[in-house]
Amino acid sequence: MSNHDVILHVEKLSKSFVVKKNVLSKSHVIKAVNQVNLDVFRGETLGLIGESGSGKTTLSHLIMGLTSHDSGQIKFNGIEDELFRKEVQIVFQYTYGALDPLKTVYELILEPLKLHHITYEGTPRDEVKRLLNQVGLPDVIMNRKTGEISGGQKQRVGIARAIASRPKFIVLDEPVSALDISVQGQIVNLLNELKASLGLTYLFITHDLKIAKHLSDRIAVMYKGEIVEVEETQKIIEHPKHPYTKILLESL
Amino acid sequence: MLDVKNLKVRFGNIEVVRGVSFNLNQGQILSVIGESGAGKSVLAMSILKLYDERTASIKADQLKYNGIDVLAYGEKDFLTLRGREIAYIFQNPTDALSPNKTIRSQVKELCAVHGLAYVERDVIQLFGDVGLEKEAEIVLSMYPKQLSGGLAQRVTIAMSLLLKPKLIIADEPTSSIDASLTKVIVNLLVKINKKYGIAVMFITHDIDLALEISDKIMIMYGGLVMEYSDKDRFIKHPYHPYTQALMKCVKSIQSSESPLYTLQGYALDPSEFKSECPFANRCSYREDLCTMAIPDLSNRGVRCVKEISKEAIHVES
Repeated sequence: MSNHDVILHVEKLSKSFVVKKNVLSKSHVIKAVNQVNLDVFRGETLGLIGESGSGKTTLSHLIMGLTSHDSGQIKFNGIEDELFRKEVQIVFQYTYGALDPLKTVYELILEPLKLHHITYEGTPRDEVKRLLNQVGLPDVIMNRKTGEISGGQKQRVGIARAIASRPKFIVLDEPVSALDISVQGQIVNLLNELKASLGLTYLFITHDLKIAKHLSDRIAVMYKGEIVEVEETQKIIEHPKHPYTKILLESL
Repeated sequence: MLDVKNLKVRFGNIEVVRGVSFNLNQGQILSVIGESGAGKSVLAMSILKLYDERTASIKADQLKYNGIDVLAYGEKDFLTLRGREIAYIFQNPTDALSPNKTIRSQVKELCAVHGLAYVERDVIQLFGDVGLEKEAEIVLSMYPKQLSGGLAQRVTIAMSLLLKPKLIIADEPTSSIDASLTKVIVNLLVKINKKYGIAVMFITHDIDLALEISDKIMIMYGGLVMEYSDKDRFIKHPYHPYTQALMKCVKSIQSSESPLYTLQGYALDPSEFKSECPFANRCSYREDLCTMAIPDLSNRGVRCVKEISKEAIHVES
């Protein structure tokens, strides 16, 4: 990244959870996110890699405002403001949890348009059609319920919902790891196309370095609540510095 | 050991497994590869009749385990087969464990059901087989929800070994646990296969992993076997267009090319199955013959109207 135009700035961000192993045991404090500093540059995809329990999901929830932080700062476009939701969207791993199976595709895509009072040209149907075409789905799918479409199509609907409110920044939480291998490539290509055509910035959360390589400009490695290494994708693959990064690369 | 001919499974009007034949010998590892909806899990569960007969109709020309006709088995007979002879490892280990009992009491229960004496020393030794020699005693006194997914899956594998099965059916054993543990769990299965000579039927969508560990490969798509062969033949020549496309997807993801190679379109839902090649709608070699009938499986184990050996991609192992 030559011009360091920071869209998301995270400083000394911490979040702890108190857990009890069972009723009789003492409670423990788990530092899920521990003093994390992170900058995401406008127009890039930052891959956030870590195994389960590393704190990557908690960090994304803090950024999305889905969980409140204990201490530290999150600035979006230089402003510390929780009302930036419209400009920040998320695409989830498990679409069957994120999409109501009883609603039609049309209803599901209309929701964010209404919620964020988005103005558009033409009728709501025209706008939904336009969004569907943008994610490579045929118009006819509009009237189907999500219970009736395939996993790859559901993920496209999830992406259409995310881009409906014209966001600047999208958190991608393992968007392909629940999909079949023949569909993973389609979604990776689509995400890369949309990023270019809509000028988006992505924070891409994954455990899968193979996929991260195809989507990320830079990669941040998270381990036990801390970010242990941030580097350009090619550099980190060729010259990993942190021992944990090396282990991750060996498992490729 | 396991000899299956023309197995068909139907839920109501929808046939999900449409005539699958294969055999598995003692000590072998067979991988069944396919995407969601291919029918691979249904196939695996049908072998042990893990479906309610009121909802699923399971038919076959032959379903034999060690020469015994399993099709004629009643519910009671299955008790001697399930677990004892053939163990089943589920996708989600916590589904296979009772949430409100400690692991120790579940192991004791398992022993009691199958008329074995509970000997803690033996149990700890089996936990050693799944890499939990140090933690065994602590794990035994824990409840399933206190275990991580990876740990819970190791526990279910250790428990399955207790009954000394001859065959383990592992149904995507790593799909619900952390990806960094996939290899650990699969290597355990291979170790168990080598150490005890237990045959493994490994259901997966991970073609790479399957190629690494298997003796035989079966590719399923649309409820049918598309390709079935020894691993060696398979690595040299994956003949079926679907198999080739799948291998290209895998290679593309491993490479750093952009955009990625993709297989256009989507797999059919079982309700859309017709009497034609189920891959025809996505196949780049499609011709009229493909949609006239379901092609037969050829002698070398390929279900395609033309075996396109000339265009077979070379796969490095």
